[in-house]
Amino acid sequence: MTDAAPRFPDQPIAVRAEGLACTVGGFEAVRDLTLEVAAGELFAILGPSGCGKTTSLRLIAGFERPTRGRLTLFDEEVAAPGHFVPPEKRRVGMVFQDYALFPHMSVAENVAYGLARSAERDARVAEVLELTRLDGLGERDVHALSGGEQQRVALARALAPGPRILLLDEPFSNLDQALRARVRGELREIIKRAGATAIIVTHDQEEALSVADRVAFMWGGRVEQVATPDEIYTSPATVHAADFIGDANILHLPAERGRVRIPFGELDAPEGAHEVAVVIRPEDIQILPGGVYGQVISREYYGHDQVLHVRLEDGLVLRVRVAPHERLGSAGPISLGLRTEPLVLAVDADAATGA
Amino acid sequence: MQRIARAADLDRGARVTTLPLPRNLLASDASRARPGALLVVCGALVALLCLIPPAYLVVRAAGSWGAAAETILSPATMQVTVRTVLLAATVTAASVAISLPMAWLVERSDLPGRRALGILTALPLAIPSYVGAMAFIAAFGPRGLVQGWLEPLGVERLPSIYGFPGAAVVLTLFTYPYLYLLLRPALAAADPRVEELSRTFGFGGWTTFRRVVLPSLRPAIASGSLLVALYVLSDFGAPTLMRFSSFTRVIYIRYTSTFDRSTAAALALVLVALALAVVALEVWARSKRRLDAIRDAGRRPAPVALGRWRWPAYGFAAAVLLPALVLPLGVLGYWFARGLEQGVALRGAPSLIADSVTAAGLAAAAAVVVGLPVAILSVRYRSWFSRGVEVASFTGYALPGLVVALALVFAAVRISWLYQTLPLLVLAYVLLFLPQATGAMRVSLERVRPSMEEAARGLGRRPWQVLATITLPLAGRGMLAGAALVFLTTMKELPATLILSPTGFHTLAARTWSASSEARFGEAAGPALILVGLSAVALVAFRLGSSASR
Repeated sequence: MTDAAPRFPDQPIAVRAEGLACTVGGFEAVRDLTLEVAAGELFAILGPSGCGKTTSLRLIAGFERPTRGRLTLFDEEVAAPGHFVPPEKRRVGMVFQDYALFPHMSVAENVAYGLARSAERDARVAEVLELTRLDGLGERDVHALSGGEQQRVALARALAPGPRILLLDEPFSNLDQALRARVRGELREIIKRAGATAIIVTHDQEEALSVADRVAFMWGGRVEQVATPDEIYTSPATVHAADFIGDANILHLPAERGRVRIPFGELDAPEGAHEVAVVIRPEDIQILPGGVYGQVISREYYGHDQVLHVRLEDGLVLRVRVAPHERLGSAGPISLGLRTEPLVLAVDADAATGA
Repeated sequence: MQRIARAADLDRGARVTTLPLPRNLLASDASRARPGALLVVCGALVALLCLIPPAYLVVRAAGSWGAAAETILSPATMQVTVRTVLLAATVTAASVAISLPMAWLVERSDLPGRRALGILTALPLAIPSYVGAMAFIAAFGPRGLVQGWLEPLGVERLPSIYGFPGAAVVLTLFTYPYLYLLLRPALAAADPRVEELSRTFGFGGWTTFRRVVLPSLRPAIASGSLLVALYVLSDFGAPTLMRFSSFTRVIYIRYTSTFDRSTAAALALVLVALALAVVALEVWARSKRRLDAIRDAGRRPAPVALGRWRWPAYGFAAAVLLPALVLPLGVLGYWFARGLEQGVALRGAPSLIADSVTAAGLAAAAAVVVGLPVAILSVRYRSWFSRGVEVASFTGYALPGLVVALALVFAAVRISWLYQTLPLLVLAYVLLFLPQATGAMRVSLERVRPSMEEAARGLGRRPWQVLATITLPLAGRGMLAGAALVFLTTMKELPATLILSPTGFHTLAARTWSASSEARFGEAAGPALILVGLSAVALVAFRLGSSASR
């Protein structure tokens, strides 16, 4: 179920994690981190808070020691049983959630911190400041910067020594909503221009899907799926992924003889499954005459669209995304049909306990 | 200088990789488990150093166990114990009664002049308690200033100020600032939203204070009371001048008059037990519940309008500050003028200042250096080891100066090159005041977010380089505050100074003491005034360092 094959087949593997586990404060935050990231790829680790994604990033950076498993960066084994390379020797750049700018240094001093004293140092600082569009702010005090600028300083500081891999922990969480979309695009462009391999950790699915080349979905300390943004959205491998990524109606239903009944008809169930989860995205349901009848019980209006809560005759309530101009009197009968065949996932014992 | 070996890995980012990198980025050796071995060794050494005095006392007392037990269990010892505990309890309670209203007036009321009042209220800390006692005796004692003024009215003698009441009053007036200095930031940091919430439940201002504010101040009251109570247990100068036989005075007399070392050590052990009981009490009072507020950053509650109540408030402030500040400074000024007339006021002042500043400066620097590993361990690496080092570092602080000095004398008489030398004196000061330095450094180290240090590691710096370039520069103000506090306390310290000073080494404190105990007040006033002035400067430096780090 895990698609670990990189999408950059001609590129070397930048990060290879094999069954990494890590205990933080007596709690096994990461149980099984298995993934491969190709050089030059922009990779996202997505998951709810407490799923172990930040610990995974810290494992790759070398701030945490794994209790099991192996970690290889560009063919160099950096963590394995009995072997550990400290963070300062991994050539990994980190952008912290709180940016962790050094408050007693100017912008330029922050950026120069990871560079050796040399004649080229100033030139390199200027180069990175320009890349991150901070030119002219070098002498500023870091307190005197806006949130977006502080984030770019953190990024410039991490990029300056030419890291092999750039790690970003929730890089947008300290920015206000209006700034995020812009900064997201900027960040992607800067990372791509620098040619860096980057791993972004986020709990915001929109962020992960819009920025990354590939996304790893984590749940309960495990990587449950690695896929491209559209794959992970359209064919989530687990119920958790379906539930967390995007909006979904998830119907837990029994399956009989490889078939499962839903109000819209019968679907094929995975072989041997007794219990399945049927995933229906709200936008995959449409208003269709002669379909399944239901009552609109409430409405969430979003501007670009609206979500109706519709109670079907058998009592089931579905979320249905329709165009904003669709005028519907509440409590009126409505007829629904499906645009595409829904996804049917087997609910195995493991997933059931997590759900 | 090396070039990046694996440039090929990064061919896509060629422009990024054209510059040399710090060479340690490429080396690969196994890292150590944290905390680093250096830190562990330093921490262990500090802990061992701190455990010398109590260990030596036990060895000494155990050497003649029968005599020691007899001394400890004698009715006289019991009497002194009860007397001393009573004094400590009285002074602590009175200090709370003074500090809490003063801190509230300064932090929460609209009292005009509260800023100046805030500074003045802390200043009695710069006046050593024995100087305060000396001023009290000079003013109210037999044949003192007040009696002199009243003599034309036929007043032959004033009620005696000696004994328990005098000692309690003097100690309260010059130790309450320990509590006050902790209460003020605690009051300032209390979350105003909690109080607002309480008001919305319909509770009035007084009920809110009693039920919401006061409980949130409990840790500060507990810590401050600990400082006051330990000070009272350990103070030697003020009780002696006030002719109150406290435990410390009894030990000192036993030691100096008979040189009976094992009974002195036995008595010192009882004093240690008392001090540890006080520490245990404080730990118990603090640990009942976590009370660190989740703070609404930056916002302060609106000051309470006092209206006509401001006159009683001024009256209260005057009742504290007149005897605690005006009286001692006035008396010292008067004696100083008399001393100038006699030409003895500034006798030997330059060398006294030099000796005092040398001893206190060395102690402050040493305490910061020795305290650093303790502070780093306790802030960054919470473990039983860190906790153990921290507790060990507190032993000297809980021990009276006299006890530590005696223990070092016992230990050092065999090492003749160390006995009565400056290093031994500085060691005593460090053992006594180490937690003052670690406490201030902890506060500022906590400001250095671990992510900053990790960012520096990720940028290719080794742990000690991170310490030098990130942690220490950011913790600098806290180190200054810690050094200033140790400097201040060392300047005033008396018993260890008297016992351990090298021959010919005379500090301001020692001269003030020797001159005043022989009633040569004209000679005592000059050094005392200089001492107070230098202490005040250190106090201001401490306030600057600690307030900026908040």
